[in-house]
Amino acid sequence: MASTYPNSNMPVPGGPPPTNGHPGMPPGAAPSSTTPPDYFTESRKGEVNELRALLRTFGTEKDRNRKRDIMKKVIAYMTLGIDVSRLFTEMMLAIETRDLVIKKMVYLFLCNYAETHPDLAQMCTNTLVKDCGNEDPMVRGLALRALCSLRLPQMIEYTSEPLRKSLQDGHAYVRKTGVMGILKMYHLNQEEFDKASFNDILYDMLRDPDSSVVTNCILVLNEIMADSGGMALNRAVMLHLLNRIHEFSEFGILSVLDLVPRYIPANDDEGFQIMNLLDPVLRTANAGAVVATIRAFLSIADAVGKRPGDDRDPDSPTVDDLKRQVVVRIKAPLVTLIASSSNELAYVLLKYADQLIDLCPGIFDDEYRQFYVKYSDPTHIQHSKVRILAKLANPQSAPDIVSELSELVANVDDTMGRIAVRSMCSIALRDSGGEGAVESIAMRLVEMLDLQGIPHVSSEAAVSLASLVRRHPSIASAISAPLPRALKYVTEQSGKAALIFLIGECGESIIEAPYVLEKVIDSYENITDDPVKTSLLAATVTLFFKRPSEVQSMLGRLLKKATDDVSSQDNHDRALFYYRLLRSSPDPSVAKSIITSKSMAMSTDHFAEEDDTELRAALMNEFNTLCTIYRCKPENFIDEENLVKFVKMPPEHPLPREEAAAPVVDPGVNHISDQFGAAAITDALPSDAVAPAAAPSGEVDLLGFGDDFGSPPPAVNTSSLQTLSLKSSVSLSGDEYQSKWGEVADTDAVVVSALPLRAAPVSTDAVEGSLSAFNLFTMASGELPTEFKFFLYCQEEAGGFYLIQAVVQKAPASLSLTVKSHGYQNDPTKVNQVVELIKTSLGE
Amino acid sequence: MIVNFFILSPRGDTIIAKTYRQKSNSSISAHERSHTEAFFRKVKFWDGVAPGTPGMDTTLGLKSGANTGGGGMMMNGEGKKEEKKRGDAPPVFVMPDGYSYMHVKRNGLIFGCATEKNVSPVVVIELLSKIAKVFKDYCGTLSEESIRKNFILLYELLDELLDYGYPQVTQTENLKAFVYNEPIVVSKVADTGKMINPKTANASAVHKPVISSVDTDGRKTSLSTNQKNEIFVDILERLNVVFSNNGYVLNSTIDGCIQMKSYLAGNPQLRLALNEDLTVGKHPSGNSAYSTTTFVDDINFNDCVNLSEWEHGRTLSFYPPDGEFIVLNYRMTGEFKAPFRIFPSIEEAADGSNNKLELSLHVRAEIPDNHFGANVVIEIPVPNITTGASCSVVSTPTAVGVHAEYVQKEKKIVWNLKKFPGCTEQTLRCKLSLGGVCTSQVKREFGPINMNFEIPMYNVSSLQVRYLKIAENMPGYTPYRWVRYVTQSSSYVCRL
Repeated sequence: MASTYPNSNMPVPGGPPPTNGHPGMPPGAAPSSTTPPDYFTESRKGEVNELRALLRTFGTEKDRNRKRDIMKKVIAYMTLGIDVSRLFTEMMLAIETRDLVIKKMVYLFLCNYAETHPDLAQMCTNTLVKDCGNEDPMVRGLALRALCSLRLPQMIEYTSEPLRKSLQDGHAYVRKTGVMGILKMYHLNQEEFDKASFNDILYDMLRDPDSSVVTNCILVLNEIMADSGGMALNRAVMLHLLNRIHEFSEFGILSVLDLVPRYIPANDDEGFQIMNLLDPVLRTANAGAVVATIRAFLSIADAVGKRPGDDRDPDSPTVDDLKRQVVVRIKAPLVTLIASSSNELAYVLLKYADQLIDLCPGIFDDEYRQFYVKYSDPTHIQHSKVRILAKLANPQSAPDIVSELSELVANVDDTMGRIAVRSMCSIALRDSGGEGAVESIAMRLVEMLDLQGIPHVSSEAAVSLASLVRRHPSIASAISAPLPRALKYVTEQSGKAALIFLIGECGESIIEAPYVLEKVIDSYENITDDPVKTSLLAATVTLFFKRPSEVQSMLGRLLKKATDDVSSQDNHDRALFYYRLLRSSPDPSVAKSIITSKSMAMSTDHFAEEDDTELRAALMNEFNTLCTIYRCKPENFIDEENLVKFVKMPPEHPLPREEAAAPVVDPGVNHISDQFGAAAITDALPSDAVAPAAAPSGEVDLLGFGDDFGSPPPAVNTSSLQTLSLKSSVSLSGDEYQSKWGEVADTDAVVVSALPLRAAPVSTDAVEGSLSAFNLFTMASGELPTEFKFFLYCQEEAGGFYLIQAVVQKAPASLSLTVKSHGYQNDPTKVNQVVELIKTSLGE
Repeated sequence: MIVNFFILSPRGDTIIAKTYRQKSNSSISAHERSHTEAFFRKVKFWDGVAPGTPGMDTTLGLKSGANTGGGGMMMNGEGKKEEKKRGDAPPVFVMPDGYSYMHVKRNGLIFGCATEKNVSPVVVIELLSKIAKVFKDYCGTLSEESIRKNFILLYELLDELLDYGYPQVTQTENLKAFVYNEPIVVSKVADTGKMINPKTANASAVHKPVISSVDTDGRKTSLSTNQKNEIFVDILERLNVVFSNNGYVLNSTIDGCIQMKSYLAGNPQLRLALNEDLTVGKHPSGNSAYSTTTFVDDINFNDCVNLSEWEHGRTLSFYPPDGEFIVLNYRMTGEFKAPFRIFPSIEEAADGSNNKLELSLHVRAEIPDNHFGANVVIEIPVPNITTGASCSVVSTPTAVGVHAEYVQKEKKIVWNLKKFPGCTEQTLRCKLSLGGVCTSQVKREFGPINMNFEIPMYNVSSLQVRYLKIAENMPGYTPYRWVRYVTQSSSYVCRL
């Protein structure tokens, strides 16, 4: 029996159970716990008993392969969904084995049934804990993973010790498994988890030499700290990870790349350096990394670009410029990925492209042929492409695109036909096709109106024409001719409503318009669709003002019918409104000006009711998530508990570049430094940044930044974080000085008055010399009979200026200062440091 | 990242399933299974509307767009919702259980998973594709049978691939260290017929698992002892061409890739050189046909490729990873010499009756006469009111396996040619009878004509492999190199 595997009488997962002669039972579904017939259960029991008998021979069986086969049978049944948990005891007897294949199978069995059989599972804890100390790292890792996967809250006490030990294991496989084990523990029992204070260790382990361990640390920290937006991030951590980015595996690299958008670069240079560093990623075929890089780039552009009203160098690029540059850069790689990927990936990437095209219109235009529909594309890809095509139209490409779209209208897929019509319409609505495009599209739509064989297209064409007339009222007369005819054969309600609306709008040029509407009014009772009624009301009233004598009586009849019709509150109210308006106003021109007002003629490319600017902005924040696919905000489809808000870090940026003085700490990163020469990103993970592990709160700030980022940084770190560091050379013209001085309100200046000095300086030169030694520069100075006056300035590494007016009284020697910080908010600590510097340079 | 993973057979049976996380209150697998079944039904009988959640537009924007018309009047497409929509299920959608389900299809199998978080869909889709690739590498082939036979091995792999729903070790070669089960090779029934060229190795040679044997201690033997040193290289070009009805090329692009599968012992470093004149970037004139240099619009590379010699010399060096992998992808636009040209014409019958049509189709192979198109299938959709058609084929004697017929059920004419020799022209004539009068509207329902083919040992672009060699000189090391060029149709369409 045991030797029969893998012959055909061996059941395989999901396959038809061997003794199942029950024809109505779909295979695979059969074993589920729905009520199977009795004989069916019986036969199952028989088989499980057979298995049990087999398992009993397991201990005496010498042949390794036979042993394995017995196990495989059990697992096969288990994966079929058959409850073999009754074999638990027998299975656990097999756990003591040197054969890893068998061991793995026992673990699989154990993890599967532990939750439903906690007592039995507890029995094998000892073995698992013992295996966690096995000499073979494979065994240690496997046992640890099994131990953490049991999902038994009562097991926590057994778990935490092996877990803690595993984090110091010599083998990366064990450490990495341990890190993931921490996350499992966190979800099992948060109280125990908090007590164990694993957070600190995890932050520490971000410096693990093995990248797979680091990856898991990032993943785990992100999840544990989801409430605060993910892992706490500071410059040291970010640069450390970026400098090692080439070590990460194809999926590991994503964990680092996903951190970048959340990181605020310390200054513009750093932002650009990060972009340069990540640029090679765009050449790879790793789509996940490419899109993560795109998001990182866009985010950096956001951080370093100039915004309106910003006082930065007028030559520096604005946020929008930078974003455009980013999109230009990523265009070719993205299009290549779309062309070369599997259908599934191509679909997802098309959605990404769609969003980027919305962000920066025009850039993808010249690649429009890449978005042509292929015969072999699945429908969802075709739909996405056609919607994108409409956005790529410009005066050069529009003729091509429109004729391509009109080829697709008659597609067998209804939805495809509709979208193609819509896309043509939207080119005209945006007016992106250049001169004459609107008219030519309108003519094509009119042709489609007559496609009686494809009713959904004619209806869709009517709806599109209605939009077009709203946008470009001038085309009304050109399209009016076929409308009354089309009303006879357009069957879809939305198309009918659109046609009725159009007949009202084009009333001047359709001679028979009143008679066409009259027919509809007379059969008012037969109209079932509310929108059709609504448009009938609107059209008749509009037409009334155009041709009062012909329409007056039918309008009366219509209003009567509509006010009597209570099936729709909206229509009823609207009819009443028209009625009262027409009756009450003494001068019909007043009513006319209200109803036929052209204020709704638009100048923008979308209708007010379709304005999604806000949604787009929100989606851009969620780029590279499911939001991009669904085009809606995350709260619409993600449970509240799983929402992770997007938090940029660290909040102290821009901060002075204290690390500038410290050379590269980690020698292993030199090759990256080479690429940028002296401007390399300095990996300044300070070795002393690890705070003492025995801090009382248990929430120690390990890498210079606390996990509890919502509260102000712990006091220990305050001073080091806010150390002033000044640039050694600053160029500032007198005019710039004056304008900067003027830009900061006097009320915002920090004034320090009459600090006593030991002695007054001899000359201005002496003071200037010692000041410049501290990177404080003099713009102007002068000696007056009673005092020296200095206009000083200095610039922080991070870019901000301090402008200082210093007055030194000769007798009694004292110093008065007015300090204006330019470029960011006043920071008392730093201003104090500036003051201290000046005092020091004056010999205090 | 993901809460579960599963493989479904073409009939919807769960072949492999693993749950990584559970909603705290929900209880277990029977529940899970019913969700997978609901998911399968949704994919199989896609109705055009994703289940979605409130606030989500699942109607492809058709609903919101329907709110047109004047003065804020509401014209929502009530009629549209009731109507049956068909099509293919997108790879990502939300199910009513609140999870987003994602899947990829490989050889009829569905590799799927669900997630509760707002993850990057690209990453998850890549992960699923990766799992499928690893499974293929280890089983040799990817089929329901091979997965069922190897399920223990696959669970073992899955354990290392994913932990708690996060990807862990995903490289085929790195996984070897963790895997102790042996693959059970499923003999492949009649290969897909990809290659009919005797000069190449049997195509099934590529379907070998990456590990072949495990010795008695459960340790793997080194590959070199029992395997030939072989490397398979494919230069694959997929063509997208659209012709107008007068034979003019409206659009043409090539998506190409160089794909490899290495069974070289010792994993030596390889060097691959392409045309030295290869230029990346758009051709200035947009037309590469008359230029001597080879232009590709863009190119991307596998992670493992070292590009230090790319800029000068167009040479790549890399250590080939185990299993099948794509060295590089490229894409070209602009004109190239289309291998087949299609000339259709439709005429009303000469006898004056207005319910008969004559369709004739000339297809010319503009490839050298020592090449041929294999497995050529040409499909011509005909109007819905067609009641019957008779087809006659005028072909050269060198063409093999020529057959044309009208398929009433699908309203199309299908013309098969097993072998379409180069430098020949084949003709199809059809007489169609219609159930009504032939109007210009009816004529619009013709087409587009779609052509599927494969041209072995031929590539359309001028991209060429100058050499592929082992970087270091190793005496006595003689690997077998199997290089093949294949040109395939991806979307080869002629409008009528």
